[in-house]
Amino acid sequence: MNIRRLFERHYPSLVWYLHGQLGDRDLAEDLAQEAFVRLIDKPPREPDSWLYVVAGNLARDAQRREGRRSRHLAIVDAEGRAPDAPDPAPSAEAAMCSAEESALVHDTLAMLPERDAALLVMRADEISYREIAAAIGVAPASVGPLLSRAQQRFIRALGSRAEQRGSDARASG
Amino acid sequence: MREHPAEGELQALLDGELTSARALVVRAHLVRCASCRARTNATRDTAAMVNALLRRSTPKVDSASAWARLVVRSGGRAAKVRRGPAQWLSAVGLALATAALIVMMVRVSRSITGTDAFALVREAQAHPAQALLRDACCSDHDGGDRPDDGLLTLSSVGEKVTVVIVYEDVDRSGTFTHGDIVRYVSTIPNGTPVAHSAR
Repeated sequence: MNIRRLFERHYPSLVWYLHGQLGDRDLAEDLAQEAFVRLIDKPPREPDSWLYVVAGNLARDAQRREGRRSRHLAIVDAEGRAPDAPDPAPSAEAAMCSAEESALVHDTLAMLPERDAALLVMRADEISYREIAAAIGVAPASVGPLLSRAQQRFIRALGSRAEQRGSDARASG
Repeated sequence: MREHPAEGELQALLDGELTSARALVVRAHLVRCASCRARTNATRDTAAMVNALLRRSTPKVDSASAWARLVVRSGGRAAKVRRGPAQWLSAVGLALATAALIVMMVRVSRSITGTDAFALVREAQAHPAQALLRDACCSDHDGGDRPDDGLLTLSSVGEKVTVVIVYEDVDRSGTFTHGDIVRYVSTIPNGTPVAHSAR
């Protein structure tokens, strides 16, 4: 198993997938790295899809932790303590809206059910149906129909998201 | 095929993920069914658009620094190319096959004397234009405690190997010398060593 080759092929997509799940680029990179460390610790038989499975699990764990943290902060705030400092301003990369299309795609992907997002990203990453099936826990024959429906949902969501952005822009302009 | 294929099946066809038999059936249907051809084209366009959007929007990642972080985080293990089970199996298989060949050679060689082998080598050295000697010493193919198995080949003009000598490098000289134990000497098909026939 050539870790470097796997890394170069999947790391950007994994970061993107995790960013879509979590909305936090730094955390996405951290968890993508963690997925690779686990792969090195215990190499799986099918590393391509395995990386997405582990990344999805790590994202869910992070969301649960964040949920607990938010609830805890809400209690602390209610008791009169000053809230944490607000999140830092978006990075220059995010603030520059030259990548408007990327942002739109990213937002759309984040709106989809987790399984749809995983399917679409894995397929765009050229992972086989058999491996996708193993990763999301369905029969290989189900991947085609699920993928087709996910693509339709993605297109519809993209359209409505673009319309919403357009009307927001008109309202603010 | 009477029923029209579903979108998912068309998607699988486009992705090359249908079994060959099923792909044949669906393709045969598409030849006859204009509406399904149109659906296939629409499915292809949708998939192409989605994939293109997703690939274009994949964030730019500084792979070099990300890789460097991973190498540090994994304690350097990321930089090592690891053997998977298949590679280990093939390596082990190759070693076993080599060992079996050596053992077989040793069993066959009981009646061949070392004197013959040294005579062959001397002949080859005396006629370098007719024979090429290659001496590969030493590997531990017999499971002993030292890498003592040498393999010497003698090639005729044109690089065709005609004689193989397996020896034990008793004096640890790293080459085939007097004092080494000859385990096996091959001969050409008529039983005459090639160096002798060149004489």
